[in-house]
Amino acid sequence: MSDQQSSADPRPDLDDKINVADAHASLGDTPAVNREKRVTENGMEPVSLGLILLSGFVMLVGGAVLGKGGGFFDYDELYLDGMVRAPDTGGPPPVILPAPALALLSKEGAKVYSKCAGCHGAGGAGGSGIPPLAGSDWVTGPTEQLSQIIYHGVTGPIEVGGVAYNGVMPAQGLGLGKKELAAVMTYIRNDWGNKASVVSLEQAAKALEIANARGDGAVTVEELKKNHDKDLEGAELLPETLIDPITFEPVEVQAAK
Amino acid sequence: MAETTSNADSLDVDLRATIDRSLRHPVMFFFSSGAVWLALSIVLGLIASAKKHAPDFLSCFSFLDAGKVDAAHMSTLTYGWGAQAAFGMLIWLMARLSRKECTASGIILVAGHIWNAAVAYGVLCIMGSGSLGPWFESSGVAGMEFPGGVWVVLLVSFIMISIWSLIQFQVRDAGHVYVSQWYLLAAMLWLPWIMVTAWLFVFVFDGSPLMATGIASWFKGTVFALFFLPVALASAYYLAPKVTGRPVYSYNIALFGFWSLAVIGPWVGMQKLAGAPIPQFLPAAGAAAMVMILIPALSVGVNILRTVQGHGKAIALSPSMRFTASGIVLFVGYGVLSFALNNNIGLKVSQFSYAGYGLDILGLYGVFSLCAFGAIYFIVPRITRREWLSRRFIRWHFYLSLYGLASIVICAVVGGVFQGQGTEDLTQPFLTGARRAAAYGWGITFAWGFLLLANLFFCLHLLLMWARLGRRSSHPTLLNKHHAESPHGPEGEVDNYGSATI
Repeated sequence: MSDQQSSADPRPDLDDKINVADAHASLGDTPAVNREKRVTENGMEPVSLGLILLSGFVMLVGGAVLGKGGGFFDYDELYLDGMVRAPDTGGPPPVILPAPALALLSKEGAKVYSKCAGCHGAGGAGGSGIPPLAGSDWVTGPTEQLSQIIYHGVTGPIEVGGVAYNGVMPAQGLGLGKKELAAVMTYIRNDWGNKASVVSLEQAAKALEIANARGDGAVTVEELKKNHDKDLEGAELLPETLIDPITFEPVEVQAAK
Repeated sequence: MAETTSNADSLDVDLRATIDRSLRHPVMFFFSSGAVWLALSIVLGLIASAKKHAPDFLSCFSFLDAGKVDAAHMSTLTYGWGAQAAFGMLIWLMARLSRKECTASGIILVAGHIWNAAVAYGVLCIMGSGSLGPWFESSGVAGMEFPGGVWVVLLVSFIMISIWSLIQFQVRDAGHVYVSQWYLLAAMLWLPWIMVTAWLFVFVFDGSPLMATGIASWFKGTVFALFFLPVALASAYYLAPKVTGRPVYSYNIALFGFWSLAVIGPWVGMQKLAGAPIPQFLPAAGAAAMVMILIPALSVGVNILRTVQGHGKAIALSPSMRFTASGIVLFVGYGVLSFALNNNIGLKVSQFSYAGYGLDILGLYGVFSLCAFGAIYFIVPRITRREWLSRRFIRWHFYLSLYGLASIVICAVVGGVFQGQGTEDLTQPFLTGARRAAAYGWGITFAWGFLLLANLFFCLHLLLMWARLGRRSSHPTLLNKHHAESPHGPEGEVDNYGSATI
């Protein structure tokens, strides 16, 4: 800044040459306050016609919105007109075909698994300090064990694929229904080279029952071996059995017409 | 410029300086802690936005669940930043306009700390719900996520902060009440009213939970229309004539703008529940009020912009005027957008989409915050008696804010309309609507990054001023390179006693 001012310019500025304290002595300590302007009385321009007309138009639209609301202070009329979708009555109901249990459950399970993939990896390969799911006996082994690990989480030392791990897996049971549990168990038991039985809805329901009866807290390997080293009770589901894509229940196959 | 250089009554200058001095601690505290909350809120906003198009982003932290981080983002933006910036503006403007120094700055400062602690506790409750134990549970009411008790503490500390301004107004010498004072008084009286009403109906009376949701969304709407908006407009009505040295264009339009807001404002909010099974006139009245908010927006816009008309230089040079004028232009934009999104056609596509969020952000960041920044750039040099350090910081703050905001609003509204149409189509699954909006979601996340950068500059600059590291000079920090002329007064003369009062 200083190089732009000629030396003839008498105005003091914050040059190196000028003592700042001297330059401000006359100011007191309040330069910003000094240069303020007075706020004067208001102007008395009339409200313009354009503003009145525009406001009138806005009020007209506002009135139309209000008009849709029905009677003012009418506490019996619920549902604003046009804001609730009318049920779709056109056309026949959509046909959703049943599909083989393994394919359908795996597809649903993959969605549920996205929550687990953060630690166990998208390929089930685990991570540093986190055991893999691919090729793990805990996954392909007894289904009751697996279900309790998923539901409650697991703590303490655990050996997977010959490697010892000692960490904490948080419980995943919150918000887990029998459909999600059946799907995710089937998925991890049959993907990445794993091969084991499909978990049916009935078995998943049994697993939730056991988990609820047990109460909170992560399970340990000792407890799993002692109490849960078995498959879940309930009807078996073969991989190729056709199930309903919504309810996951097996469907009666109708003879082709 | 001649009239502004004439020497003023030095008593006036002394009085102004005394008022500024008496308020320096609380006002600076509100602004600087508000700026820190704002930076935090923007980080949360960025995460919340990212989660809408990439649900797995940071999903390993339960305290950053989509629902929690969204609520924490809006709560910190509203009560951490917005409310505190408004308090600083409110107490300073009222003291200056009533020409009374503040005698209770210690109490205000204590109340300010209580407010901060309550907001911090409330945010902890939102983010720690379900994991921090029974003392840290969010209320779970959309729009009022802080637990019930926090609202009582907030109300009490607000009264402790604002009551002194009410007293100053009561004991002022002059009879004339300036436009800004109408708005400030109204904001001071409206906020306790809506807080008490909403708190009673949501947390105390045993009503229908659906209606409680309605009341909470009414609260969220009216906090903006009846508190943030009046404070922002009070500041604009103060700064526009102050910086340009010209009277407000029209007293009549000011009256019209004020009373139209007073009549329309209390009805806004329930339009968010259009389609919910509550008495149907309530959301209709909310939507109609949101449509008609264009009326006060136009009036104030015309009035302020006519006041600064012909003073393009003031807007180009003065940071306070540039932010304030932009805030007022955006208020008109807010009115137009609100009109478009809440009429019979628009409401259907905007109610469950990004579009409503865009409007909220345009209001809180576009209208209120830009006016607040304008006020802060004006007030802080006066109370710290130091000038802003860097015009580049201010310029970057301005442009990044404007670009970021424009991107958020445009993405939210355009994406929201597509998303809304997608969700309204009965033959399509919900995912279709979400997919249509995903690309715009990316845009919004990106734009929050701009705003984060803008506010890091702002926050740093303000904290340096707070640490009294500002320039000691009689030259205001203006946005041009060579300031030969200044809208704040003549340059170069160190002993330029200005001419102004108030």
